[in-house]
Amino acid sequence: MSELLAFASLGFRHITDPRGADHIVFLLALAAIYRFKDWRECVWVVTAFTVGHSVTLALAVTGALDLPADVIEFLIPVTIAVTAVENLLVRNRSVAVWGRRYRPAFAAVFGLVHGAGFANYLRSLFVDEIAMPLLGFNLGLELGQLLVIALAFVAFAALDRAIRRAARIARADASDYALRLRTVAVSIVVLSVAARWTVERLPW
Amino acid sequence: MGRVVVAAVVALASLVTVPRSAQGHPLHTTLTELSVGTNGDVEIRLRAFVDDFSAAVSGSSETPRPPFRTPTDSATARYLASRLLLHDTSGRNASLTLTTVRREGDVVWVTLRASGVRSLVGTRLTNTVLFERFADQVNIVQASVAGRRRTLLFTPRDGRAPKMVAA
Repeated sequence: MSELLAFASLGFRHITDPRGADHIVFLLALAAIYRFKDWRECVWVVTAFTVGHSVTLALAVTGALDLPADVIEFLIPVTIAVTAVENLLVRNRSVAVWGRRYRPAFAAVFGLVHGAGFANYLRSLFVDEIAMPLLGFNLGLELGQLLVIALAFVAFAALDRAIRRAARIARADASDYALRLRTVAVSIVVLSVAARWTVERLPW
Repeated sequence: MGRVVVAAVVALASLVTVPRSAQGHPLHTTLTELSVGTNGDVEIRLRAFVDDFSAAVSGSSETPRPPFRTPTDSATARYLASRLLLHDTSGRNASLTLTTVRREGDVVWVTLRASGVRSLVGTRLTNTVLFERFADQVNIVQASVAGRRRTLLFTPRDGRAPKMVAA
C-alpha cells in the first residue's frame, strides 16, 4: 500500500468512527440547514472546515503550534454548540452579515480547533517525513466527511418527507416548514449533546 | 407551548442516550518502522503512546491515569513476544531482541533487532500491539526497502494474519 493511501485510510476511519462522534456531530450541525438541492453549498462549507483543520494539523505536527490538549478538547464541543445555536437563531442567511458566505468562513475557523484536536494524537508519532502522511490523512478526512454528509442528506430527506406528510394538511408552504422543523430538531439534539460534552471536558 | 415541550423532550432524550465523550476522540495508533540497521540486521522501531502502552504491558484493563510510567524492558519484551512477530522467508519466527525502551514526552520508543535477518524482502510481519485494548486500533508499519518506503496497516479486523513486508 502506498503511504498516501495508508494515511488516507487512517483519516477516513477516524472521521467515520461512530465511537468518536464529536466530528460527526459537528458535520451534522453544519449540514442541518441545507436542502438536497443546496448540496454544493454544503460541500463548500465542509471543504472550508477541511482547510481549517489542515492548517492547524500541519502547524501542530511540525511543532510550529503547541496548544494544550485539554483546552482544545473543551473547545471542540463549544464549536459544535455555537454552530447549533447559529442554526436556531439565523432564519434568513441571505440578509445576514456577508450573506451566505460567512458560513464557510466560520466553518474554516472552527476547523482550526478540530485540526488541533487531530494533531494531539498525530504529532508525537510523526517526527520526520510528515508531508505525505499529512496529505493522506487530510484527504481521508475529507472523503470521510463527504460520506457523512451524503448519509446525513439521505436521513434529512426522509425526515423532511415525514414532516411534509404530517404538515401538508394544514400548510401550503410544507417544504419550508419541513426544512425549518428539521433544522430546529437536529440543532436541539446537537446542542444538547455538545453542551454535555462541554461540561464534561471543562479544563478547570 | 407544545413545541417547547417537544424540544425539551428531544434534548433530554439526546442527553440520556449519547455516550460520554470526556476524553474526546482519541486516535488509537502505533507507528512501527522496519529497516536494515547499521550492523546488517533488520531493526524494528515501535512508537506508541506511553499511557496506553504501559497499561497494556502491565496487563491493566483500566483507563490509564497520570503519571504514566515507562514500562520495564523485561515486561515490554514479554508483552511484544506474542504481538510483534517477524517471519523470515521460510516462514519461521525471527528471533527478536529488545535493545532499548526509551520515553520521549508522551511517546515510548521500543527498538528490537531481528538477529540473522539481513533483508526485509520476502519477510512477513504480525502486529497486534494494543488490539486487546481498542477495537479501533490501527498499527501503521513503514518499511524501508531499497530506498523506497512501503506502508502497511494492521487492524483488529485482520486478526493475527501476517502481512508481506516486501515482495
